[in-house]
Amino acid sequence: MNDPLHKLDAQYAALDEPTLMMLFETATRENDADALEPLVRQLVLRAVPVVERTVREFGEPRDLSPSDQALVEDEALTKLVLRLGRGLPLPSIRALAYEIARECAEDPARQPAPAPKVRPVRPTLRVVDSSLHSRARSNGHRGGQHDG
Amino acid sequence: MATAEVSTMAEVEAVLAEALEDIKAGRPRTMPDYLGLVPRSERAELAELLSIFFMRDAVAAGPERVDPERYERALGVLDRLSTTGPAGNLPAALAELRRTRRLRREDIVGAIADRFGITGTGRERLRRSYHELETGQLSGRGLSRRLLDALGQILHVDPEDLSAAASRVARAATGPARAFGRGAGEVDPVRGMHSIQPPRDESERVVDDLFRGGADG
Repeated sequence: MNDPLHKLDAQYAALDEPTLMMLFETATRENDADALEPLVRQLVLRAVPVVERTVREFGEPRDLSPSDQALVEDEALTKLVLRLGRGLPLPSIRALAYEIARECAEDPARQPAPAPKVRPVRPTLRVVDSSLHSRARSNGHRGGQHDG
Repeated sequence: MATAEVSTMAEVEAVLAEALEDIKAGRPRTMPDYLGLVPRSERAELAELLSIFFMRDAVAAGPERVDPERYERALGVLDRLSTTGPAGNLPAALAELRRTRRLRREDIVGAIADRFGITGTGRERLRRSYHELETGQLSGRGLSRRLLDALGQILHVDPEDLSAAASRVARAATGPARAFGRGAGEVDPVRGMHSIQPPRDESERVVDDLFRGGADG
């Protein structure tokens, strides 16, 4: 799995989902690691829209921020890769992606992003000293009038 | 045919018919909603049947529009998880799951220590062992079942998935993972890259059993 691009990636990218599922089943049955790796990648990429939509659907009502949702999506994709790597029979990649993404988004143990650690700063205001005001006048400043 | 079998088949057919009605009416529920209506033993068959109709529906609707940035991020996840070594892609998966949960390594170490009652010098050994695991320096064969169960619970992931990841050793992975830039070297199939000092107390022995003791450790 250390090759960033597998020679079969381009070939599999052109295939429709039922064909990919069939190839995945065969590769799983035959324990063909060389074919499984690019197949897992293709199937995961096909699942991205399902993961994105599901996380939004179940994440927004739980007040997950966009950055939280992005993390939930990454977590769901990671779990999807791990599950596909087990080589179990897979009836539908979309159903599995939905199930995992929903579990991740609804997980009550998930901590929302911590609030920014910014302390409100109390402004220190002073009344303008009247002597300062008169000094400014004696220096030629006339409160908004220009000498022209 | 046994009565129970007939009744299960009827159940599957009824749910399938209900799903088709919903799809025709343009208000389909999600596939897991339908799967939840039949016994667990029948779900694979129903999912296969439903996926044909869901697929047809999806094809008719055309491709879903997804922000290209999301595909970029997905490719990033896939790329990170493609790093394999003597513990398969488990180290990469642990780092990724920890990141998505906003946990520090120390949080994981603390949770393992609490779970197994590891204190004193054992705690430092645990910290070092977990670091070695996450950086691809330990062998998957040395990891105990108890440790994988604990990691599964801490990171909210099926321990079987972690176990399978740990056993997917790269073909050329008698050496450490490439991502960590180390030279090629022999890895003890169970104990990992480094020889370690023998445990000085019970707490250190527990750590060794967890990380280097094999499945039953």
